[in-house]
Amino acid sequence: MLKLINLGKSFAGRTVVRNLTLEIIEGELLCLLGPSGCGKTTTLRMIAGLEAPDTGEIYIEGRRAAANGRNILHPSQRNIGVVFQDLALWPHLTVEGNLRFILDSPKISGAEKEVRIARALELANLIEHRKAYPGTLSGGEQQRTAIARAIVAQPKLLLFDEPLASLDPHLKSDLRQQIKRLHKTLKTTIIYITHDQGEAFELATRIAVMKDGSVEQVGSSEQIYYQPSSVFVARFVGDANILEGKIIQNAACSNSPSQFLAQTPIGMFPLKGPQLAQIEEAVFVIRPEDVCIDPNSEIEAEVEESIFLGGQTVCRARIGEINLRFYSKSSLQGKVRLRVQNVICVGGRVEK
Amino acid sequence: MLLSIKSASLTIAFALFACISLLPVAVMLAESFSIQEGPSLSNYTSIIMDARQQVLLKNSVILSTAAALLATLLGAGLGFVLARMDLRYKRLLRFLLVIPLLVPPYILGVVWIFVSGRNGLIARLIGYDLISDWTYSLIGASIVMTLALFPLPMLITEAALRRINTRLEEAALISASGLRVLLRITLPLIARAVFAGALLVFILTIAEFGVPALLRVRVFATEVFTQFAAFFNFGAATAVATPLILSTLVVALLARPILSEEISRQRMSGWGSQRLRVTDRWKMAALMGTVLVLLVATILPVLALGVQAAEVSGLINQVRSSSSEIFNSISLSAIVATLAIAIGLMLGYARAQTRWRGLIDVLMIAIFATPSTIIGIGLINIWNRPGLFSAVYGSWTIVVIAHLARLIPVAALILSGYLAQMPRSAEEAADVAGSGWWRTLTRIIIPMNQPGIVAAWIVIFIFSFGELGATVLVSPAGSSTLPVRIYTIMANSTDAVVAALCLIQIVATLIPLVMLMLIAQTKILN
Repeated sequence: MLKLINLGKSFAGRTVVRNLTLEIIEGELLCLLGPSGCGKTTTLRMIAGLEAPDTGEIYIEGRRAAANGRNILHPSQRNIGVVFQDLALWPHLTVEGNLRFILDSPKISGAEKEVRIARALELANLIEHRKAYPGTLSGGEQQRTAIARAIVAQPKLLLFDEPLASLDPHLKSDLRQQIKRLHKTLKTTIIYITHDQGEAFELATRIAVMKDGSVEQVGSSEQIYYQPSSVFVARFVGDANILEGKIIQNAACSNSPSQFLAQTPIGMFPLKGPQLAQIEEAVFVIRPEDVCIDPNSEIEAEVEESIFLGGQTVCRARIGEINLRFYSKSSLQGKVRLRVQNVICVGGRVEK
Repeated sequence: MLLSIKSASLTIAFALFACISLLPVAVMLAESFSIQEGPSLSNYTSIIMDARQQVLLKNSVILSTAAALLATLLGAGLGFVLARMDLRYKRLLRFLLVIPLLVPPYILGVVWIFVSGRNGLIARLIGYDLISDWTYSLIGASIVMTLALFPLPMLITEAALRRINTRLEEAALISASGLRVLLRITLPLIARAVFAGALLVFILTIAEFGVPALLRVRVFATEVFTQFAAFFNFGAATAVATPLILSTLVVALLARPILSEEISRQRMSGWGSQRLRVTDRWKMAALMGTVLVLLVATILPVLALGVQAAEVSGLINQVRSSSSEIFNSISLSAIVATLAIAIGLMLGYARAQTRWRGLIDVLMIAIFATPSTIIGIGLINIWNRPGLFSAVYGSWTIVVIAHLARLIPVAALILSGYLAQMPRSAEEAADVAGSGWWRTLTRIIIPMNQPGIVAAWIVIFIFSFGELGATVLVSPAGSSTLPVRIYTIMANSTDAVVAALCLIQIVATLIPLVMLMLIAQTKILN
């Protein structure tokens, strides 16, 4: 549905997007996830046609939208709807007025316009506010107005630029539900930008993790969580204990489910996963939830820190030079024996 | 290649700006490099040698610097009062204090003559002629310009103080006294804005014709006029004008970085710096000072004029006999304001979006700082030719052009400040919806910037209404504006008549202003 091929963009000498290639499938909700400054907003703006990529091409529904350093299709020719970060609601027009402005085109009949406006208002739960001015609405209502305005023209592609960043957690959670419901009802393709891992995991059918202007990894939330392609991804989407070591062949049992073993400073563990090979310098990730207390284990550790977080307690224990973070039901002290249930292999060296 | 509506509109606006504002100045600049015999630098070399030129330079610099310093001191102090003191009726107070700015400076010059002259108010009250020596003097002119322009630094300082993040001062208060915080934290934070205010006063004073003309102080602006109007010595007029044009360019270059930034920060919502209160001891002094300024700057002029005008037989008749000038002034200024806004909006839009911001600003400030008399002479030079040109020259069109020349830049600078504050996403959202540029301009950009547009219209109207230097040169024969009428009858008429006309001018300036303010208030309240 949308193809980004080798996009590049610089501003005043600073490269913001580099070699970005991504394909977006029709009907999916893809999250562009990454820290501030990783180029996600710029990428979105290029998809929308508000900026032209310096290099690379963009294809929307098979049509070439941008190439050779310029935009070929104007934003209004791309059949898109945009929810801006600051919402960009026009303060001098009512909610209905904001929607009507979008539809003001000779190609749509008056009756059809009314139908679409009514539908958008209903989907966004704004019927009772249709004559209100944005300045009089609450934060959540303004958000929904921005969403209604983006969908009123029934575009094939919806672009959300970190719309919930400035809201309080309760409101965020409400609106996320609404966006999810909207996606299910409209079945439109949605590209959603966020720096919040939890939000991405909640909303997305697929996630593209971005760093320094390019895509580090694309996949479902499980894929990214359990098979991170780099330490950066591993750390960004969850708490991670990073260990360096080797992958060696399991000569002992050829019947065992895992052919390869992870040799780490704290012990040897079986490795699962595709495309493993004997590697001299490997990096491993152990998620805190995969570490538990086991008196029968051979790994002995000294608990150095224990923080009560309410739902659980995070503990940090030392084994030689290695620090392991793990969860416990209560505060711990002194020596404990830990068992590691799952070791994930990440390629490459540890990036600091 | 198809020319889009956007580039066509912007190009037309730039073309008009170039013809109206740049051309007269460019012509004068070009003329300055030539004398009758051909290209030469002798106009410039004579500046250094000519003792007369040195007098002009001395007077111009002293007047402008004195006015800038005094107006800024006074204005900044009042800005503090307005920003930091708890006062009832602050709105009214601010309005009354701003009035001297709304009135053309030469009217305050007239008031000064009435008050300080041999038969003036002071002499009559005290029974003794105390200060009439200083009536027609550099000192008098400095005082008048100070009183005419102090509201500018006042408003700028108040705005700057309101913009300061309160946290910055609170952080300092933890370890330092109020006075120290004031000197070491607050003042440095507003220093740029205060300096910008001083620069503006300097620029406006250099460009001022009416006050020095009235008070017989020889500055560049008046000399240009004298050489041309009295002696028809175009060459000499140009020679006098050139150092002025150059100095305005220099001033503009220096002022640009500061003013550009202040323009762009115009409307940032304040953080409400009401915390740092003035102690009681200072409060009394501040209040007394404020009341004093109010009396001298606003109440006194009205009283002085009123007293003089009261002697006129039949005030109504005076109004009647000047009715055509009053009508001319009001309609002229309304037309000028509307056109200036239209063209200035395009220029301001371009400025807010372009990389050439710095260059545009220098240009705008330089033209704004050019005395209107020079604009007038430049325009005569261009349009006083046979054929089509003379049609423009002999009509009100050239007066409109003369006003627009200096005021388009003002409109552009004010409006670009507001436009720069508008988030780009508002325009982009319309873009994504497929709205053409013209439609976005009329349905989104202009409505969203309505307060700024109204404010700019009022400012241009006021400036245009009080314009003297160029109008007196290019007005078509037989008809004129109110300021020109006041100027021409000063020599021949009784004080009473002059005073009456001045009062009419003040009232005529304030009525549309108050009306617009009332309209704006009700709209804001809605």
